[in-house]
Amino acid sequence: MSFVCLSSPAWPTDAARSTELARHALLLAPRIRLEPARGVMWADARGLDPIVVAAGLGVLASALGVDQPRAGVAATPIAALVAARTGTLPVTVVPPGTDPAFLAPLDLGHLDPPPPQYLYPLLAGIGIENCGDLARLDAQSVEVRFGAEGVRIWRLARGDDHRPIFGPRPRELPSAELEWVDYELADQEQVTFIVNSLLATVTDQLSRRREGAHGMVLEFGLADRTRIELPVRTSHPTADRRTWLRVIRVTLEPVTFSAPVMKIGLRVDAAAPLADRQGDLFDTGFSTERAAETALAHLLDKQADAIAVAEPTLHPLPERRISWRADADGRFVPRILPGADTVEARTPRLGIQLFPAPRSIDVWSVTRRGVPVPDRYYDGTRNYALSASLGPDRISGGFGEPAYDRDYFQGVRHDGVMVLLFRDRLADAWFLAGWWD
Amino acid sequence: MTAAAPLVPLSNRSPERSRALRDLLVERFPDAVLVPERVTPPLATGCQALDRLLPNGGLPRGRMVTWTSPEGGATAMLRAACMGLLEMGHRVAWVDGARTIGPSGFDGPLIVRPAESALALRSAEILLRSGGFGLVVLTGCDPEHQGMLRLSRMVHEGQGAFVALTERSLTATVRVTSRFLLDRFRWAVGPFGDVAAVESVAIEITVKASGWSRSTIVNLPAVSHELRLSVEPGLADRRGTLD
Repeated sequence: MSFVCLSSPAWPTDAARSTELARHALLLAPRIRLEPARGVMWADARGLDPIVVAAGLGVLASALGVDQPRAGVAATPIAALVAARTGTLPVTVVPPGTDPAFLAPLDLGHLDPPPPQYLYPLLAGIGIENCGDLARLDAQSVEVRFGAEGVRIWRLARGDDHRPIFGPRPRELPSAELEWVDYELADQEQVTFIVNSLLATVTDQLSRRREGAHGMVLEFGLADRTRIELPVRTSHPTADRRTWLRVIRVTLEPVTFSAPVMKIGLRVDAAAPLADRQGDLFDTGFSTERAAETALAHLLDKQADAIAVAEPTLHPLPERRISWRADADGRFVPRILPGADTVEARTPRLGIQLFPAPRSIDVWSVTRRGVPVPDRYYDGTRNYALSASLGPDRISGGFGEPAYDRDYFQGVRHDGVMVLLFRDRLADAWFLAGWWD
Repeated sequence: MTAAAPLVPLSNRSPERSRALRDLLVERFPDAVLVPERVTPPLATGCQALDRLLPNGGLPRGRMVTWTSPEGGATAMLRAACMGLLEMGHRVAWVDGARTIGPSGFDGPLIVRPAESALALRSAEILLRSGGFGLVVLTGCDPEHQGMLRLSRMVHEGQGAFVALTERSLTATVRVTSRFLLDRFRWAVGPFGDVAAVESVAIEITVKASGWSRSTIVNLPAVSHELRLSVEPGLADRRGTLD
């Protein structure tokens, strides 16, 4: 017996009284559905004593001026509804398992919704007068004679009613909030500090539920009564506090509050179970994937742009030929260019190493075909003699950017190390750009 | 009364089958430790030139390896090792402490570019301790004695392989040095008779460990077109060339 239906032949139509009734009814049952147009109110009595709930609703309705309230209690909505409408007592209880028997002697017009008018002569034509007569037939016969509408009525007459009276119960997702009135927060670090403590509460709740959040909402209440909501997202569901703190820090960084903060709330917007994926015996790194992800999240917590992804820019100057973009995803993805020959990639070959900014050096040069060519250089620590200087490769340009005009040389030192030098022709100065290793 | 038949045919107990089964298990479960041996097998990098030099044919797990000559072709050898390990499905991280990785070296491993040297050390510690990475390479960072000890502890905890390009090798189990052999370079001569490009270089690599000392000479190609700033790899950049 989970359905309680309260009915009245003269249900009040004013919204204020209905709202008041629903507000008080929620103290008796967790879920209430009000249908003033049909003159009924539903209460979900699962896990409760339905008779107590029904009696309470009746008393409540009477107190709020509802005329002749009658309650019905049954395991199916149709039986509860009919019991409420046809009952003469304040509470009519249909014992579990007796819903068809309760409906059987009743006229078909008591069903809700009732049969359409065109069906009555057809039903009367074969001697069907009440619900029991119809319920005794089989579905196929009813469908052949009365069509789909007949089958609907047949189901109701049998007490077979699965209509959803109450919507799905919304999941309560973890949340935490803090409000204060005796001081005001204007410093970003203080805000982050409080968010961190709220985050600890939320992630603990998530961990206990074995869930991970991939969306949260930060809510700020300001002293000027404005509310700010900031959604934050992660690439994959996680309950790791460090990961979330990192994402929230990045979100908060550009935010400026127009007034001091008086309230901070944090609630989970979207969560998913932390289910382990099916393992693969042939994936050598599968067992340690989570450890690697946690380590990367920790790393990004230390420095948000620590993990870098290079993007070719095709700029003529070597130090600007690639730009580094921070990878805040925190996932390990081997970056191998499509079509790259792995055998060739496994073959060791020298690659150029570049200083973040070219280093100024002193160069002693010799002239070769009218061009000064480096012969030895001093980098501030020691002198290096060059066995060979290959070049120059002249690079000049600067459209829409500071002009540059450089002569590059590939120098081979006496110890065999190959270095990249250049002469800035505009400033007439020598620089060490990098070396091959 | 007749003797009971053996449960397992004698032919199935041959040493060859046992060896084959063991090899199969090692191949399928490379991280597993064989109980009779009680040692973790080394991490073969797939770079033959390097694996042949290292004790037991690979980088030791849970032990520190130092490469004490950072300008001797170490990056080229380790980059090849990284690519080999990536191909085998291992995670590989390269902590670029000095932020000197150039245009030709960014492909492959996870690249960590810390803002400062202390953070490079900390990054390496985090990655090593997690145990989630098959190989971690630390470059451009010369940790103090305490830092080296801490790194040793972390790599032991995580049981991955670790190579540090540093001049300090106090806590290292395997020490690697390398140097260029200038007299073995191959040069390309230009139309004027002078040297136009370096075709290949030779490096001598020496590996020393307890009871182990091995040395070899490796020839590495030097692609001058790519090195000489060509925007398109494989094409010589002729802009502004005077000769």
